[in-house]
Amino acid sequence: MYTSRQAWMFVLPALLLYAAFVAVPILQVAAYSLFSWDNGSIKAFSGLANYARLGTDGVFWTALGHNAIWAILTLCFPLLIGLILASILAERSPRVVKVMSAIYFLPRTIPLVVAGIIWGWIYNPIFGLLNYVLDLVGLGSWGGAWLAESGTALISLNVAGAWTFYGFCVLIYLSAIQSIDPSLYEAASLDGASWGQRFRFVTVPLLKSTTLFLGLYSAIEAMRFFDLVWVTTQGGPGYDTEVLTTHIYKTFFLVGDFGYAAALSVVLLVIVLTVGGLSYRILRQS
Amino acid sequence: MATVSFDRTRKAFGAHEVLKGISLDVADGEFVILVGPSGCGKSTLLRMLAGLEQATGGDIRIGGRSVIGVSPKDRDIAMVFQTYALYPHMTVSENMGFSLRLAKAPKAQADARIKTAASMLDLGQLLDRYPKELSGGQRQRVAMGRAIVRDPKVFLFDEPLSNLDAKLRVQMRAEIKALHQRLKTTSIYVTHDQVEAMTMADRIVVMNGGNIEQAGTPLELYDNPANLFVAGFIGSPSMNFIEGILEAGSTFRSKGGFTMPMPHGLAAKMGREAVYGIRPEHVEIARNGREPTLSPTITVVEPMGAETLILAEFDSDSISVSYRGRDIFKPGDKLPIVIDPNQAHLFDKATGEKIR
Repeated sequence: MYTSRQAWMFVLPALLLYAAFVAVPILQVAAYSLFSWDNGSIKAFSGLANYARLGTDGVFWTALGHNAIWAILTLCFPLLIGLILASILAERSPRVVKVMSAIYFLPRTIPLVVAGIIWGWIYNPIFGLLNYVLDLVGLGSWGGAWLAESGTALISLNVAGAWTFYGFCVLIYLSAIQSIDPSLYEAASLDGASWGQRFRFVTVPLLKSTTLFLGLYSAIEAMRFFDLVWVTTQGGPGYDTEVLTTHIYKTFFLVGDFGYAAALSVVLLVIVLTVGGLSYRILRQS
Repeated sequence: MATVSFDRTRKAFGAHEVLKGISLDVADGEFVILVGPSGCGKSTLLRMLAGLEQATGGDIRIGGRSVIGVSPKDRDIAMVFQTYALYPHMTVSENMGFSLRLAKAPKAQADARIKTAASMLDLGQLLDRYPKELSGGQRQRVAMGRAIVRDPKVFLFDEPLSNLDAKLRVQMRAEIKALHQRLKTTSIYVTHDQVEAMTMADRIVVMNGGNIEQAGTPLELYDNPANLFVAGFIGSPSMNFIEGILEAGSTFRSKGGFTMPMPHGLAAKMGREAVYGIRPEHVEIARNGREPTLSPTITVVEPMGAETLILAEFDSDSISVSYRGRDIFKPGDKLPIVIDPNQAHLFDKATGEKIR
């Protein structure tokens, strides 16, 4: 048995790395948020003044709203699509499962920046694939500048985001479905359940904790989202696709308002930690 | 209630033929047990009757109606699974009433049927519990309750007792039998345990390698096994088999040269290679000066309380003897035994069929 001191020695290297690269920078950012800055250097201690600005910062609230919409849409579509595809796939032969899982998961392996470029092309109003296909099927009038119009920009971006995420949901759901005792489905068939009823009364309830995990995971991801937005719209047009991370980026690098950017970062951190803590608690309970 | 018929029913998984043309008729209200070693096709046959596997040939009829191509839900059968297959997110009551809920049965009627089944199985106090809160035996009862609630034409049981401990298995065996006597629903039950088969069945169907070896009442199979496989499978401890040859004067000579009396009235061909079968409980210990048939050397003594099982060897053969009594025997002793020829069976060595 190790003594407590020896045990600490084993933990120490990881602890030092954690402190140097996680804890200290976070505390640093939190500290910076309490100062006013001028041209990259601290001007004066301002207390909570940077936080007081949040209330009147319309862009912050718009961005936060977009993050919330993003989280809700992610919960609705990639999770639902993932669940349905996984349920269909689970009844196929192992070979089909293997091939289709790889195909579904492919978008997840593409870096988000590349995914952003791909979807930038797809949505391009002049040579984009989407408008071309709409033209082809006689719905040319529906076409438009998907990422440049305020009505469609956020939804279009979310579709791209869903494309990068649904494969992950398929795989997680698939492994959860495969761990369900097959005799439950056989019993349900004998009890008179159709495919839809087996899905509703057996699959969905038994995937509760998986759905909870994916939901909370996607909520955290939705708050941290940056690459796809930055590559495609940079938060535009206007602030129509602005999210917290792009707002922070602009405040820091373009405006140079380090104190306020730090305050925004702390707020984002608190939100993510709250959702994360909540997830941990709920998952443990379930 | 209904009759069940298998008519040259076949099943193959790819090139591997699991069932090689099964023909069997189950009477209305009969309790039939399919028994056999792992891989003999008994569970596949049951699952085909349930509609969970599709037949690759032949016909299956329930109540005279062919069910080939009919979905499981339209066959009016209920099945109790080896793993119980209770829905873990539903209470006992919800599990039992699930089929009624799907059939959109009126709530009052559904509640009444659940209540009746629950009282029949002594589950009244457990209706609001979840499966994880129940013991193995209680789960087993709920699985049966779920089947009873549906009031099906046929009950199917797929090794329902194999996950229970020995004591509970004996208790549940009696409960299932009592339940069948009360409901009189046609029941088909799969097990690899011949004791279960012997104690519960109206009729036993012994299967091996995708074929039916013999079908009959438990005592028919015990007293008159059709072949070596059935003789070895039915009965515990298993029948002794001694290889040898038939000689003049109605004598069987073992390979080691020992002679044994042939069953009376048997006109067997001389010189034919045969297997002599005698159950351990039909071998007596020679007492009061009786002339022993054999005096093998004891190798193992297994006292079991009510009876004692002794394993003994003679030449290259061995024989087990089961008897009621507490004589002190120990390994190395000679065991003087008498074999009653009328309790013995002779089988053809080449075909395994009983010589009659």
